[in-house]
Amino acid sequence: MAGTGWWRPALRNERDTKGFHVKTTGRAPLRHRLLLGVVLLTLAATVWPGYLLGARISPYVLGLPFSLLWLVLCILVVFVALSLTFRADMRAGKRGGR
Amino acid sequence: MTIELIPCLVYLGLALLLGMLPGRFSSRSVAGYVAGDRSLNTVLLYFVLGAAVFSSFAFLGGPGWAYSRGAAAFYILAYGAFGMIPFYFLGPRARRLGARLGFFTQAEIVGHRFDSKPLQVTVALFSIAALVPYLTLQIKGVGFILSVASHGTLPEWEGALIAYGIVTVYVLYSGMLGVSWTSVFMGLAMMTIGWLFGLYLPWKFYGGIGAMFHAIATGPHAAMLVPPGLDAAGGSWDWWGYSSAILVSVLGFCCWPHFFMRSMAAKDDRSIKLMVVMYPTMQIFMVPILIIGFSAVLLFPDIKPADTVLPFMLQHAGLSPWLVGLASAGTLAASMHTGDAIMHAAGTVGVRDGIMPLLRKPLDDRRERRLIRILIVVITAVAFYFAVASKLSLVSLLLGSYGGVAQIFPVLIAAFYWPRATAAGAGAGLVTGIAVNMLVLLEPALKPVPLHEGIYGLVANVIVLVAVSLVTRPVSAARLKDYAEAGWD
Repeated sequence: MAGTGWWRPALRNERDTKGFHVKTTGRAPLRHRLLLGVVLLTLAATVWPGYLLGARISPYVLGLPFSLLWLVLCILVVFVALSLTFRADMRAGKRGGR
Repeated sequence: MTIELIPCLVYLGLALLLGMLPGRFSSRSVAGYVAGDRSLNTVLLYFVLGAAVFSSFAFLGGPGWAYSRGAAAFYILAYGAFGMIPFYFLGPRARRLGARLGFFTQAEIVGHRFDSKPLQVTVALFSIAALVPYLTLQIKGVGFILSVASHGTLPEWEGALIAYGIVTVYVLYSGMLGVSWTSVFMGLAMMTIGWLFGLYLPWKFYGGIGAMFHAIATGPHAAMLVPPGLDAAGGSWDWWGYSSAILVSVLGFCCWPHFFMRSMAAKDDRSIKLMVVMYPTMQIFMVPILIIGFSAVLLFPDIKPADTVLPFMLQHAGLSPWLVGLASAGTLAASMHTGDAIMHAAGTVGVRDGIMPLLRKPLDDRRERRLIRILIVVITAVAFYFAVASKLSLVSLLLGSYGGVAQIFPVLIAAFYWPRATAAGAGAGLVTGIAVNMLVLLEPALKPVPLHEGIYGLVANVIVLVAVSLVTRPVSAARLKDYAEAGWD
């Protein structure tokens, strides 16, 4: 995969002209798979049945019912996960890899 | 002239000024008018994209949901946290394609990837069908709020005409840069005013946010605070409906045409990604907005329709007229900075995807810009007519559009990540998805379980997309080359 990067698309298995074996995706890097995992887990915590854990009124924190605070915490988790992924992406970009 | 109108007029004047200025800086070209010469940095993207999501729905619908349905309104917080994330991967891909091949809209990418003009035109038609009722809602909100601020002396149609007259002027003159500069100003105005009122109203009437929620939880409306809140009729909502509403909204979030096409205006991949990272800081802004709605629950138990809870409080809670004016200006800001983005996007999509694929000869740059400007005026006039004159209810169309827009998601994913997907598959999937979505919306008795109609549409969509793609001829490898990139982003 030498000479390819985010600016220059890498084409895999180009031999088949019919297009059956043209792959548009290689394996995504681990950090992106981890991000997807964290996001799906957090999403599960905001819908049934995951949200049942947080879906109660007391205790009140900062004046907010616990059910509302739970969602604010979910937003924070997503924010932290995205920040870390972004930092890793930028470092990988500097080295010229993905 | 009332005191309440003064902040509104100051705000409108500033919006016009900030909208006209950047017109001097963008090039006289389609790229300049439609995509700001592909120069938007993180800050501009943050406000254009992040805040475009908060429309007058945020200021009117959000408090309305909290007021009438209680904890059900939390779903807005939940979907906003996740809806932007697909854009971390899709946005940079779309941007690079746009810069390389000269695209400006979502439908152009879909049309090129699947090598199909009919598919491009279909996506464009669905886009405009979803955008017009959305714009109508924004215009209605503005007319309503200005009429309240003037104590009824300014009829709704006149207020809407003044505000959207200003928007039309700067969108026509400055294009994308006008939309983005004003959205920074409007976004800041909207967020400041939202936080101000979200903290002030509970403090004034209850002595604090905690005291307010405690009063609701121990009062006659205690049931509304128990998740998943109440349904539209006032009974308790079911988890099926609550959870599936979140999922459909998450998938539909970045598929809105006026949203997705901004990836083509971005300067580089980094600014798109950083914008997605920063977006949750804007999402938190829904918390004070919902608190505004909750603060009315015990004070004014019988406000109908619920969407008018904020204007009603402004009129009847004995607030200083300056505060009322400030809140009105915040609502104007929320409505206008979604409205201008929709007008600009609908005009662009209509010309580039609706009209140009049908022409035999390509348009030159100057004619294309002129045509986009004409279409913007036509679309705004149509929306204005629906907003002030027509008695036709757009509510079902608007409800249908949320589930409908989500149907674009499988097509986008297939376009970027599944080379075997074909035009026939994507087209059949999209049409089936939207048809099923509308059918189930209009005939709720067909639902085996009370899931959001968009879910039924999505399931049908994906099955048809995969099945039809597998039995039709694949798109040529030469075309797929442009979409062949390793990884997700």
